[in-house]
Amino acid sequence: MPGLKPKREKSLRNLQKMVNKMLSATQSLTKFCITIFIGLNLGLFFSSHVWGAQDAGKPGIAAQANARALEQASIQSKLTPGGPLAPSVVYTESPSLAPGAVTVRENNNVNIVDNLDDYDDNPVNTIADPIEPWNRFWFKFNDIFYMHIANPVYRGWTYIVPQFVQTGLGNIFYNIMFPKRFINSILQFKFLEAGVEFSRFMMNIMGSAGLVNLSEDKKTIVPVDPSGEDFGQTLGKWGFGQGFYIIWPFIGPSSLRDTFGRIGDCFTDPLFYVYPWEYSTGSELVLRLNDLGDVLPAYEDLRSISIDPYLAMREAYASLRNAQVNR
Amino acid sequence: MNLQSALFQRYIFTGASLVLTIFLSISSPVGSIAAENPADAKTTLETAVNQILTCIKNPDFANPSTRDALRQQIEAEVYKVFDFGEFSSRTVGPRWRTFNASEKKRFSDSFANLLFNTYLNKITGYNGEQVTYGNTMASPDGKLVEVRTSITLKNGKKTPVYYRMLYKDGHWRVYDVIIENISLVKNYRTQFQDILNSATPDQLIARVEAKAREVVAQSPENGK
Repeated sequence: MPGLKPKREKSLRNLQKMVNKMLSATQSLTKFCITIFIGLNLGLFFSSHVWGAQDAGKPGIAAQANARALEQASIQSKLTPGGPLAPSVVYTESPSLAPGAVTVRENNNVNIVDNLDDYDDNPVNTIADPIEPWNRFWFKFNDIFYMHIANPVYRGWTYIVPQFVQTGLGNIFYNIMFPKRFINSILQFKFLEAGVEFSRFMMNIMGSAGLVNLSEDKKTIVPVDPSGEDFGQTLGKWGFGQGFYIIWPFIGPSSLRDTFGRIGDCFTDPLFYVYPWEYSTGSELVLRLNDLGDVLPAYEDLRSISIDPYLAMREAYASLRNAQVNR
Repeated sequence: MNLQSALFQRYIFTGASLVLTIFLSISSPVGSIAAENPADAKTTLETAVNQILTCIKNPDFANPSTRDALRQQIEAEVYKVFDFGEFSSRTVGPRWRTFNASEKKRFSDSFANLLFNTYLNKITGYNGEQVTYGNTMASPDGKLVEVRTSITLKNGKKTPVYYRMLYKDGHWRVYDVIIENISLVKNYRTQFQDILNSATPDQLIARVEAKAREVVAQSPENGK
């Protein structure tokens, strides 16, 4: 601006800078909101079609199951006037079948194992905990966060958002996390499991764009746990021990190995590569919030039944991770 | 001739199978009492679990005025199949020997109370989840058994629940429950070991009793 005094020019330039900053901040915020909005709407639109159909089918199945249970109860009462028998004992003599048409024998095989009386090993610490006071502090911090922030927010979420949208978003999250399970299965040389993960993913994506878990009840060639593999488990499989116990703020219990595992998992999380960060963080937060339904009740249970929730959580975490590595 | 011999064979076969059936029907109840059979553990557990679920599903259970009778029935059933004395000695571990008789009794009672009320709270929320019974694992001498079951939740997720049982006084009784590979006994044991490092048995019993009261207060019956 040639006609203006230098001082005024400077202040104008400052103002311009400020406006620019404000504009970019609002832009970020809008992007963030748009991601959440689009995610919600997509979920609402698609899942209303697919889930509406599924829900309509459900009462029929339930009624059938009820009828079957009633039938079994009547057979049972006929066979054993003296008292109830375990249902698996009463397999044959169904009135709808010709005698001898189907013979089902109860699987009464007893496998011999040697680890049932393993209570004498003393003490039963499954993970080292050298920084216990520090961990206990963050445990308390997380406890307050889970019970007084995450829990109410999640309750609000389930109140506002319809059930089928929650399920749809949960399924999207499960499918987005496919690369993590697939790549880690391969890294652990579980090629059949990797194949199962791949076909589950293809089925869900082709069939419903990832909104419905179509592959959920399909029988697989090898049993694959729905919780899947992650990089912490891969490291465990490669021979790394847990190291020691760490509690991270917000994230919760972890170990030295699983901390590296989590860092590794970032690279197989497609949302990590979404640019700019507003989209990536926004969608990640919504999906993680939606997924709290599995974690919060389990945490509340553990908290309510244990004398020292910190130790209960530590042991539970260590045993669960050990079991996951060794499965 | 051929026909005759075939008939003859059939007679013999029928006769033999009749004798066998009679023999089996007489001998089998005697057999089950005389020796522990690891395969019976599953039947015992399944019968008990079904009895308990029948009580829970009974509409009278939802009605506060008629609930008490069913609650007592459940309690009797639970105490019959769960051996809380074994639970207690295993959770406290080697220090159990340093407890005197009255401490043992009080600890067992309060711990049983805690476990029973936790269990009751849990199954009161029973919503038709399916329980399937899988393989049975037994120790080489057949005295310890692990009955593997799996609970299918409403959302299709399966939770493995293993019951460890031992044969005592003519019954198979549960001494540990393992949920998702987490042993209830071992989990409590870590906590109790830590507490006993700095506290007396009396203080531990007091804490267990306090927790049991808290669990009772949280029960759905008392309006959570």
